[in-house]
Parts: sequence; C-alpha cells; structure tokens
Amino acid sequence: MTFDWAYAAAILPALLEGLVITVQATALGMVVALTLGLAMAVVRQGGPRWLGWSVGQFIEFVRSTPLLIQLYFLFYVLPEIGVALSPLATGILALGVHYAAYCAEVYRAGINGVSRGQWEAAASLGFSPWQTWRRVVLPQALPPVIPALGNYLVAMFKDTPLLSAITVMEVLQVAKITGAESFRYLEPLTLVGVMFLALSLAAAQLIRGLERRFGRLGRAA
Amino acid sequence: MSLALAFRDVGKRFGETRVLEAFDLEVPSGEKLAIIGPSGSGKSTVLRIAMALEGIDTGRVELMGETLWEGTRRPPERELRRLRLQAGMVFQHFNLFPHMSVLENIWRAPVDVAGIGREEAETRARELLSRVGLAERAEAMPDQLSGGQKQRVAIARALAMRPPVMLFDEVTSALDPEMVGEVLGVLRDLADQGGITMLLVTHEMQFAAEIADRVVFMDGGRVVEDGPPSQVIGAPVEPRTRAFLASVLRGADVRAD
Repeated sequence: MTFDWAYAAAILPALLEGLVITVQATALGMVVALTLGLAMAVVRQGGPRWLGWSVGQFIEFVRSTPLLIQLYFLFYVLPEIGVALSPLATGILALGVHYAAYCAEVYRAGINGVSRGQWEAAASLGFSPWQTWRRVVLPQALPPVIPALGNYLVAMFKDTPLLSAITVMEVLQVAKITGAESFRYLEPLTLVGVMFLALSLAAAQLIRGLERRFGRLGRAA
Repeated sequence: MSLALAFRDVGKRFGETRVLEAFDLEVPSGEKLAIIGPSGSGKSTVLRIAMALEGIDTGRVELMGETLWEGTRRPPERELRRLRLQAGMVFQHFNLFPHMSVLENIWRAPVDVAGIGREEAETRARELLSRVGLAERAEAMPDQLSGGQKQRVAIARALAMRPPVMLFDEVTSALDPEMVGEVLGVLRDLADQGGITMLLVTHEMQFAAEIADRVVFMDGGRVVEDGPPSQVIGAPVEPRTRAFLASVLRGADVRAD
C-alpha cells in the first residue's frame, strides 16, 4: 500500500472543514473550562462551606469518570430531561465541564500560592471580598498557572476526536466517513494525525511563550 | 476624653492555647501606646483583633466608640468593612501588593474602597510618598525596593485611607538592622504630627520609650504593667517586666558585640 498523494489532496478540503469544527469545539470548550473552573475554585475557597464541599465532590466525580461516558451521558440523558442541544453543543459542554474540574485544581494551586498576608492587607484596607479577589488575589494567582492551563488546552484538543462518538463532524469523524467511502484509511488518518501534530506543536510553542511572559510574576513582596 | 479603642474583659483562644485572658485595655484618642512583651504574650493578637482580622471568644471590643466584637458574634461582612475603615495596619512582613506599582499600592484602596477619584487619589499618594521620603520611587515595583523602603510604602498605603487609629505590628522586626532607623524615623514624624491614635507592638525599647505616651507590658495574655515609659521601661515595678527587660537588654548587648 503506497500513500496516494492525489487522493490526499482531494480529501484535504473536507478534512480541513472537520478541523475547523475540532478547533471550534476546543476553543469554546476551553472558554467553558476556564470560566467554570475559576468559578469552582473561587467558590471552594471563599464560598459558603456547604457549597465549597459540593463543588469539591463534583470535581472529584468528574475527574474519576471517563470523558467518553460523560459525553454519552449528556448526549442521551439531556434530551430526556428536555434539554435539546446539538451534538456539537453537547460535546463542547462535556469537554468544558470535564476540563473545568482539572482547571479548578490548577487555579486552586495558584490561589493557595497567594500568602495570607495579602488577604489580610486587603482586608485591613477595607476591600470587599469581591475586590480582594479581583484586585489582589487573582492577579497574583493566575499568571503562574497560565502554563499549566495551557497544557490542559492541548490535552482537550487531543480529546476532541471523542466527539465523533456522538456524531459531531469533527476531523476524525470526517476521516472515518471518507475512509469508509473509498476503502482507503491511510491517507485520511495520516492527514488527521499530521494536523493534530502541527497544531499541538504550535500550541506548545505558544505556551512556552506564555511561560516566559508570566512565569516571573506573582511572587510575594 | 473619648476612647479610640477599648478591650473589655476579652478572652481569646487558638485551639487549646489561651492567647488573651481577662484582657482589659483602654486607649484614649490621640494616644501613642507601645505594647511590649515576650513573643507569644498576645500583643500581636491585640492588634489583629482591633483590625478585625481575628474575632474574640468572650468580652467586648470597641473601636472609635462602636462595638466591633462582642463575644463570638461576628458582625455582618458589610458592617465589618465599615468598622475596619476606622483602623489601618502595618504588618511585620509589609504585605505590599507585588503586582502593583508603589503608587498604585497607595491609591488603589482610596479609589476602590473610599470612592475617591483616581486623579485626586494619585495626588494624595504622591504626597504620602514624599512624606515617607520615597517620592522618586512612585513607579517602582515592590520587589525593586529594600525592606526599609517597602515598609515605608506600607505605612503610606495604610495612611492613605486616613484611619483615626494606626496599628503597627512589629514593623521593624523583619528589617536588616541598617534599615530600622529609616522606618522608625517615619513613625517618629507621624507621632510628632499628632492627631492619630497609634498602637505599636515593638521590640525597640529605646524607640518606644522615646515616642510613646504610655507603655503596656503584656505576658501570658494579660496586661502585667501599664504606665508611662519612664516607669514601665525606665523603672519597672513588676518582677516579670524587669525580667523581660533584662533579657531584651542582654540581647541588645550581645547584638552590639
């Protein structure tokens, strides 16, 4: 079996369309993960005790069950309780919630890195809890964890092919369909692999840049 | 004379440890009070309770004529914040905000908390910086400053909220010896200027004797001796005060060698 370059070129546009969906799912999933994760980390640290505890249990649950099962669960169960989302939206939600649990732990490490003296200085100046988070704690807690969050972005990107299991036309699903039509899998799957490799490497580069930019900040004075 | 701060029969425990026991203290407005005592005597806790960073277990604490703590009852968050504006605190380890410039460290709270316009707050911040001798470091970041400079900025930051009561918690203890003088100089200016009630927890006996109107010696969570510096530091009556001062002065001699 030899690699058919002409065939590869012919299927490239369809695969790129799939890749757009993949990137979309990753980007939106990451927005959900970053915001929901931050909210969970803040509630765990500063919210009422019962709520913090519940969030902690939820994080534990999400991290202890496979993403694929969470995907199937949302895909088949949400419609039954009257929530009708498109497969793509369901996939984004699942990716977002799943990675939010991991991001929450990363944020928590960053928040714990801010010394108690910073909280006390803010309190002594009369800052409200919200102002303390916004002006004092998060500006110090976030920069050091940006690289770790970036690593989860790459991990999520590499998990998006799971969305093919719930019929999302992301790049792997497109490759499988293409392969099934022509009985040639070498070219579509190779191309998909190369696409993931290229984007992952680019993302890793970006993260290194962020590390250089933010690694220095966030130390106590 | 009105009281800036009053502790009435206050008890406070950390777990099994009694930090304050039947603790009574009245500080008239405008007084400069030095609190001395061995470590673990509860003196820093007094300041932290007055700053509403810690609650109490029994008794009552009044700040500027209002009840701050009464038993274990915790005032609602909003009320606590309003009461906190009556006091400002300077910490042993400075606790400057490392991600803000020196100037922003000072103007941020007046803008966000007191609702003063940014321009006016910056002008006032610059005035305060000149007062502590750091006008030219306004744009610096805290980690570019020496310890003594950081502490002077921290004093300016607390003063920017114009609290009637200022609490100084061992503000020279974390400094290299050659930087102690510059910080004490700022405190001296502040004391000379008057108008502000000052509570200083300090190990600088000489300095306490110089600027304080009154000195309180604490041990085991209680006031053991209370009087003018000439008495408490100069000619202590209580044996425990004498023992403490003797050990501190011996320490000073050792350091001088």
